[in-house]
Amino acid sequence: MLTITLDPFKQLAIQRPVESAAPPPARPLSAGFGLLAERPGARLHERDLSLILADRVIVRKLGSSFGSIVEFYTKLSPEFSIQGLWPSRPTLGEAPIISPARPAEHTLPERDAVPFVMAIRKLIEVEQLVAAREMLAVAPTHILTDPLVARLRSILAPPVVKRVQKRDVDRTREYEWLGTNGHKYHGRWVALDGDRLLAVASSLRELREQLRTVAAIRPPLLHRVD
Amino acid sequence: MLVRPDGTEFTTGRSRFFDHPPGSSERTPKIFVKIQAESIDGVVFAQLDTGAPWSILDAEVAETLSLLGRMGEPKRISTRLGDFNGHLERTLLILIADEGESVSIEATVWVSPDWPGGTFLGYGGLLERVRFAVDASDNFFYFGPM
Repeated sequence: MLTITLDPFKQLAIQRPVESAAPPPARPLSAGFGLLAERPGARLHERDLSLILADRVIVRKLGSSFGSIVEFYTKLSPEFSIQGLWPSRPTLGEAPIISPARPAEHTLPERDAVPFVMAIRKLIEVEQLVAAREMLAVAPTHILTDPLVARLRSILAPPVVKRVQKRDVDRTREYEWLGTNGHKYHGRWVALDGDRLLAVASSLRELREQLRTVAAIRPPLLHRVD
Repeated sequence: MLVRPDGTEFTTGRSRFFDHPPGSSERTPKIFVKIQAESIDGVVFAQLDTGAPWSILDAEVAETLSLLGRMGEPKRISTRLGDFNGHLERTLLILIADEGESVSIEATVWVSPDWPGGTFLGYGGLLERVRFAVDASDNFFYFGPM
């Protein structure tokens, strides 16, 4: 169930495949990437972001969201600094942004998902659902298949609401029964059909097992009396 | 069920809600609506809590829906009952109507085997895509898809 540590960020490291859990090794960068080179003492996400920013394909994909991404990181990690990156960085509208071009499929391994996942998890932690969705929406396409990113996309997807042709009956009699008799079953699960007590159990599982032997005309109301 | 001034639907179904915890000695008014889920052969109450960032499922309900053994997104929550570690999971719930049409909601809910409270319907991941209204005079909960 819960893993060894309950800290989501530590779980991230635990749940990832070994090869991708390791911090990204220092990557040789061409002269053009001088200011993006790994700085001593840089944290994992800081280095990863630098690698992402170094890729012209990704920078282009981020487009106007690029500023938001950087803003996210800056907010999430006050010590994060992009000073030194900007002076030599062309504006987003310039092309080519960074050269030489490299085939997109070879430029960024899955480890580039790590900073996104960490940042999004940080937003979830502080209940910033909208911001988390916005950030996920600008994730580079090549990391969308990463299991952690895929899971976040599923979890953060807006709810899907559809009409269904299903109806219940008025449960006033059940409610009244609970008001009158509920105190006798404190801490227990009860199954009611109108004012008829169908089953009582100490767990929902046990209650459902009991109900298999009960002929009920309609779905019963299942309730744990607190 | 409820219509807008221009005649278009606002909600499509309604159910009676209960404003006190059923069978409980606590008398603080709340709104309890009825929900169903695929694996539960019955109806259970869920407390409407628009202030909650996530919906929370009763631990035994979550177990019945096989949501506790999954590796969902880890999430720690702080509640009046304390802090709890759990996971965010995706599941299908039904807001069941007494009249009109019910709605199924593929929602994100928080679950934990340690959660001692009941089931809550929160805004994020569930109510955010539901049109709803409360008629406190007759205890009717109106709802429909957006």
